[in-house]
Amino acid sequence: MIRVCIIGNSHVAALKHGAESLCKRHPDLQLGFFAARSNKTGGLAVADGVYRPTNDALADQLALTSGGQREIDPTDWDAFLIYGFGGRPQPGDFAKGLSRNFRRDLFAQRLSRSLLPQHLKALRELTDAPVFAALAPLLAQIPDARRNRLLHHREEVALVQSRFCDPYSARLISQPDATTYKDLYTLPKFNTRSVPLENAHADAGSRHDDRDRQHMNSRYGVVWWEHFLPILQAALPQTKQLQSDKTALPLSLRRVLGLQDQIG
Amino acid sequence: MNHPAKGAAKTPYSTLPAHAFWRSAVAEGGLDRLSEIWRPKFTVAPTEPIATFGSCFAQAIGPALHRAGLTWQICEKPPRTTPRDLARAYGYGLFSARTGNIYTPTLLLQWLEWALERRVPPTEVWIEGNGLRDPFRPRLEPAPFETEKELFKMRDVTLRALRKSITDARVLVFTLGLTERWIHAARGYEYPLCPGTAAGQFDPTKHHAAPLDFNAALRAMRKALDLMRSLNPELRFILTVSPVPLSATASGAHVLTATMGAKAVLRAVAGQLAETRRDTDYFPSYELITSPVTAGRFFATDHRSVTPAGVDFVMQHFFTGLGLDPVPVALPPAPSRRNRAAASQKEICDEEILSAFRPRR
Repeated sequence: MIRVCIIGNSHVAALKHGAESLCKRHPDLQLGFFAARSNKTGGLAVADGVYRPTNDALADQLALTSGGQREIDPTDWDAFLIYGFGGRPQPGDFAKGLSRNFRRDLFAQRLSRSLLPQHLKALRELTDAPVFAALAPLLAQIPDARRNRLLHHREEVALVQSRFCDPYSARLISQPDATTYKDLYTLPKFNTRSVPLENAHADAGSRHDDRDRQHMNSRYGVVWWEHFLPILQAALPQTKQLQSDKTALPLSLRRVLGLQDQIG
Repeated sequence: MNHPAKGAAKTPYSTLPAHAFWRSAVAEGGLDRLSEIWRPKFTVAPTEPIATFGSCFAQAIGPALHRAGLTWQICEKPPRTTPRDLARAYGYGLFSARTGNIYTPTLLLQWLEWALERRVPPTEVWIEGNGLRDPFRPRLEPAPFETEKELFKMRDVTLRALRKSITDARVLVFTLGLTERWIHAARGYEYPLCPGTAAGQFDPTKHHAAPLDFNAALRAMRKALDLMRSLNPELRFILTVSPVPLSATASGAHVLTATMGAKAVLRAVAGQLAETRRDTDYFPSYELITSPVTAGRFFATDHRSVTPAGVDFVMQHFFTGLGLDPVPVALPPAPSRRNRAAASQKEICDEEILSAFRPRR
């Protein structure tokens, strides 16, 4: 059994949906989602050896997403994933005419104001277990694409790893190559029919607005988990390994993941 | 000259207003009642774009214009969400484009000739660690540029912004700062700072001091103003002289006399241009900070840095002159070491780097 605790924001919805088929294939994988919209998990604080909400609304939200748990006890989990922080450039931002050093510093400043540093610090205070982090997905590709980027994703990853994750012995997980376009954007097919966080744990059928370029769909979640699982397993002891059966994936996803040869 | 006594014979001074007499305009009222020190040649409407460039003192002018509701035109901007400290550290929001400090009339002319494509900018770069510095704004960014391509691209961005700021502005405020300058002897171009101080390496065979006298400064300033008018015939100019003394002088003179000499030249140049050009006015920020009536109260303990209260005092007179409602300024008490120790200059003054080269005793 591998138990993974996921702390995040609205972007967690894609992982939640993507995990449904994953957990069917891996009954020995237990995922606990502790998510709340935007920066609301900033209301978590270390107390008595657990990561505990400082207000009832957040506790209720965590209970909803986790299936009843109102706080995070680090002894319940083998590994941790902090997911979805580090907001993307907003309309009106532009990268034209900015030096690379400036773009790097601006990106780092934005990230320093996100909840990623808080969660990294708190988790490392509570546990020696592996801690992973992943940024909010790259925006889905848009026509005036050049106006909405600061850095290529590979550069973001190197920067965040060295400035934010290394001090806490955490590892940043890059966005899967199969989901990206020119290392700057998410392919639009991973953005269509994305689901809001509040519906990710119920059967409600609402979707994000078609103009939403930030949130990804369940297909993205599946690809993301397939990308992450080998990294997760490599960080855990030999006694903590999952049975893997990639042929159980739908054909379309096997193609996305580049598994054609293995299934031919 | 005092007020004429009643019954005295009529002279040209007899009918002059109160502001023409030291006793009534200065001695009796002191700082609190100093008024009409600037009567602008032309009005500036709140909607008219104003560009600002010049020495480090000029960095305070743009933000003050913005706070007062005037249209400070910035043509080189970071993304809207950039924190202010980060923007300033990278030279944004100091002037209308990221030229860095422009201390001399000849340096202004050089930037303009590049921006208006009258001359090709030099390709000289200075190596620093694994990166490269732009010799013409060596401390623009905290770290060096990574490649030559990036350095020149960023300079092109600034040159386009400089050109746009001249094209789009209706008023340009330029603050003259220095007459001492360093040039590349063979190629003739000017550095904003002596090579080897902020960055680069000093080479006595290449780098020569070339101080400006009155005629050279006036000639360069005239050419600069004419060049800007050739691009924008509607543009008007407000010239000021920075009250900030020299950080160091390589002239051989004492830094105090070198400072007063340089400021006298620049003040005379600005005055000459204001008297002879309809498109040019002079605003007395230099006098407001350094004249005997202020008794040095607007300088910090180093007797060089202008305090924020000093900047506010200057800008109050600027806005009053333009007929705008200035924000009232609480005047500081007469100078004492303690009063001035608390104040500090906010501007990014590259020239201060020269102090680091002072021999230690």
